[in-house]
Amino acid sequence: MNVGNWLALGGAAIVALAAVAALRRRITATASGRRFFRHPTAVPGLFVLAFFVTIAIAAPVVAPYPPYFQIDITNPDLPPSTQFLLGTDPYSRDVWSRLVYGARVSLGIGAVAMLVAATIGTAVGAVAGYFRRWVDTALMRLVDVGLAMPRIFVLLMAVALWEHIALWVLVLLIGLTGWFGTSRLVRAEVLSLRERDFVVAARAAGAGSVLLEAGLSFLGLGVPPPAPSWGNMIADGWHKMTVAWWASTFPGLAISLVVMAFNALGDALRDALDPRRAGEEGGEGGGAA
Amino acid sequence: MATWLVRRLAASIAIVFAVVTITFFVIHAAPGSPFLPAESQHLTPETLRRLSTEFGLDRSLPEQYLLFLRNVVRGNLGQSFALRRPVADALADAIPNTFTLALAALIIDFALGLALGIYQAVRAGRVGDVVSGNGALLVNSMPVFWLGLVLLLVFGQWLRWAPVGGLSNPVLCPRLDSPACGLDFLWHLTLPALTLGLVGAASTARYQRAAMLEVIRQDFVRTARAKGLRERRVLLVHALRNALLPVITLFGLAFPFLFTGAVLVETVFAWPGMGRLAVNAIFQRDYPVVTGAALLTSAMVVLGNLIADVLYAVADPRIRVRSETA
Amino acid sequence: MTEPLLRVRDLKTYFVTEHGSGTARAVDGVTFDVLPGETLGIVGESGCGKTVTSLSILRLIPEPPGHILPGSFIEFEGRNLLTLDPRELRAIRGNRIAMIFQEPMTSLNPVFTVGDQIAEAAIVHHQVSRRAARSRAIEMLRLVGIPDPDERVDHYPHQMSGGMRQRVMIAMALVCRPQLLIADEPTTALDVTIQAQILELIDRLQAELGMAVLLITHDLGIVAGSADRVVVMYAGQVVEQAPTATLFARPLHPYTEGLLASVPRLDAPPARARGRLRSIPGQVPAATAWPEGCRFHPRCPYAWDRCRAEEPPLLDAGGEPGTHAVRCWLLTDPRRRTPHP
Ligand SMILES: Nc1ncnc2c1ncn2[C@@H]1O[C@H](COP(=O)(O)OP(=O)(O)O)[C@@H](O)[C@H]1O
Ligand SMILES: [Mg+2]
Repeated sequence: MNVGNWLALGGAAIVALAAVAALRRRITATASGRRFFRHPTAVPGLFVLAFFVTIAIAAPVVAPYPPYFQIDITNPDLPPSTQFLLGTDPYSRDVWSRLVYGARVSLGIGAVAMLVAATIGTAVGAVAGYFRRWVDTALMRLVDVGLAMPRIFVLLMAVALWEHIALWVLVLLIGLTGWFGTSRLVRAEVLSLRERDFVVAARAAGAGSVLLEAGLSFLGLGVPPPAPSWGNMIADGWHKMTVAWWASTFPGLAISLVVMAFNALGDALRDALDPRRAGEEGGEGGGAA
Repeated sequence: MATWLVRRLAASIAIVFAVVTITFFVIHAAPGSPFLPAESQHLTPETLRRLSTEFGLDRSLPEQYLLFLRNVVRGNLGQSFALRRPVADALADAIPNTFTLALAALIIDFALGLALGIYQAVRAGRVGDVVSGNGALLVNSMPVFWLGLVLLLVFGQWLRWAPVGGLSNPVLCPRLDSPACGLDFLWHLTLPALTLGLVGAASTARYQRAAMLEVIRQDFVRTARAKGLRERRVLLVHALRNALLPVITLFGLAFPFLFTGAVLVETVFAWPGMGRLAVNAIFQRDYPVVTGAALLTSAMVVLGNLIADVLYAVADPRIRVRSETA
Repeated sequence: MTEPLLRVRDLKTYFVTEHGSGTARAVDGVTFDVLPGETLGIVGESGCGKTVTSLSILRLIPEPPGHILPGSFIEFEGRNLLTLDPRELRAIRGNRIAMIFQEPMTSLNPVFTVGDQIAEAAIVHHQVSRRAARSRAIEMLRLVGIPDPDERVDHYPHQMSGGMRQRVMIAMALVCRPQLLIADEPTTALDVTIQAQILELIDRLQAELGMAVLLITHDLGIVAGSADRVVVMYAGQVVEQAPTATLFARPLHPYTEGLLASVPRLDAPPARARGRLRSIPGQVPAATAWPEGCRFHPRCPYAWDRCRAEEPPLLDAGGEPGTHAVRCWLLTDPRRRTPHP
């Protein structure tokens, strides 16, 4: 890490804080906005997400090395130091740099998959709830089948059939297998479409997708290496965990933090949209992986 | 109740049927002939002939579909190329291990999750609740395989309290034929079950806390207090009996989680279960094994939901009585 | 004079509301007595603090957000309920003092049979066997007029109507033969015909069991038929207190006047009975913001400067000493009892 990287990192933290503050000014005008920010996990959750988004965007300045750069292949597995903030991995790549670039992949997958899942889920749920009768029956039976097949197995089948899946196909597949729960919730509430159920569903889809990508990549069946997704990073460091614990530990921590922030924001948003039911419905988050 | 059960059972069978159908088409979407991929040189001509007649590979698609259905009903899931044995046999070897792991995890999940959730609800808003609540949220957000890696590193490698993987000690206990080896097996089971159970428990606790809080503010809890009952009885009898109802639904949801998680945890801990079998099969492009495992898992999930629904109906007098009189 | 069974002195129960809106002074210095065997009515519009008063007596206020302020005093059978330890308190709840609630639909536990719920109090307080408790439950169901009690004892609440459930609540409350029954709006959620039946039932059981009843309602009409004495509450305070007959014949507080005017009366001249009921303009303010001075002044047709500035104390209204008290400055200046234009 050189001075520029440190400055960039500090800058990213400040930008994230500023973003949270700006958002806070904007939305505390409404009652539900105030309730949202009163939730103890809202600000930390927003900050964590804003921070990771910022460093993902500013990756070239925050990361001292390119994500694929092997520093000294004869001397890998260096522990964390001021030069290598989070150490180096078994391929002698800087873990911090890969973590920063990995945020692009992992957050991107989470966002796209969530968008796909939420869009399809809402559309299907709304159609089913609006038309009722046989349309409803047919769609909901379809959802039953979709929910019966664990996502990871569906994706494993897909991977088994098409040898090299392109990244965008994988992301699409993660999204396409994640909307069943959403549609069921939306359908149940379609006559009085409530925002909070959408929030619950979208959060579950987003958090689940990030975890699913990590799981698939860990198995070596997700994002094609050497692309720096967090799941890949865990897989890369796994077999040398005993000599270089940092290579797998930090990306796992990053996933946990982002998913936790996601869940915390979901909690806060849900409670803000329906204060009477504050604190209900716990963990849909970890369901996927 | 009986009609309801029959209807519910029929719906479950229909779902499994749909999954089987999807599986059939997935197999047919595979490059090459479904059971004769490039790797088929591993198979003896004799096996190939048998497969060809069993699955009617030379017949029309509808006929193949019917044959496939018949074979699935009979438990014939085809031939594994890589293992050179029937898929059903390979799965039958792996299933008990996955079941043991899932069952142990399920016990940890609910025992720990319910206790923690009740504790949090009773202490809602106080330090114990906030600390354990955020802890649960964090664990709930962890990739389950990563938690497994960390536990393995800490307890297996650094502290050496637990074995680093496998079903049992390969030297001392190649098979489970003595009480000591039974203990050895349990010892090997501890970390993988704990990994899966902890993540599940974190989610169960969040759910249980919410359900409990929802119940605690209901009028009948006040009635119970007004009667002069001990707080323990108010919470653990009157409130809990109601708060357990939504958790039964969670029991149904636990099945997909456990089987999904098992795929990853089995890989981390070298646990020879269905998930690891499927993952290894993928690398060898042995897709009859993958689809077989997927099929079986889906059936388990459907069964889990069915059990949860029946439990719910038994536990909630409002449903039980209505369906009895109906 | 007989010793009161229940003595409430300067009861203050406040709620700390979440963020911003401040403290809700739901009950703010309430004082009254309940004599053995009598029925005391507490009347007031919704939001005046009646429920909080009744819950405070059994210390059923959720804490937090609520708390009973030090200096409050609730004495029952010679003991201060506010200083009892939990065990002593439990020995009184459901045993010496029992309570029935407004919402029969939600006040019973949906997953237990009504028989089990009635028997529970007997088992806890009187240490009777399960079988004995069950026959006590059947007996209580018969007492409150539920047909086929032997069969009904095994039913779940959802299998019963609202009126039936309220009877079950009464059976549950009375299974230990309490000295005091607190009935918080016991008929508000019920149909008019069922209302009369339930009130009759309470009256009858009171006579049979010799207990006192604290009957809480927003409907003066209900009090007229059942209560010996009436306490009128407004904005967390007692504003008038009198024997029932006196209150109806000579209401002194403008709030009581207003409440009376909105009751349809059979003995009123036909012209008025047919005309629209007069009701009090405006509504009860939020408990976080009681008005300065007399809390009723913004809605009072007689209010003048003093009412806005000074809070009136409870003043004796004459008659038999200590029987009729009113919290109103009009008592010091009766000539002002002519409404403003
Ligand atoms: N749990 C609570 N939290 C905050 N305020 C409360 C709570 N319970 C009652 N209050 C307040 O106390 C006041 C009196 O309520 P209550 O005793 O229920 O009135 P009543 O029974 O006369 O209709 C109300 O203004 C209400 O806002
Ligand atoms: Mg009330």
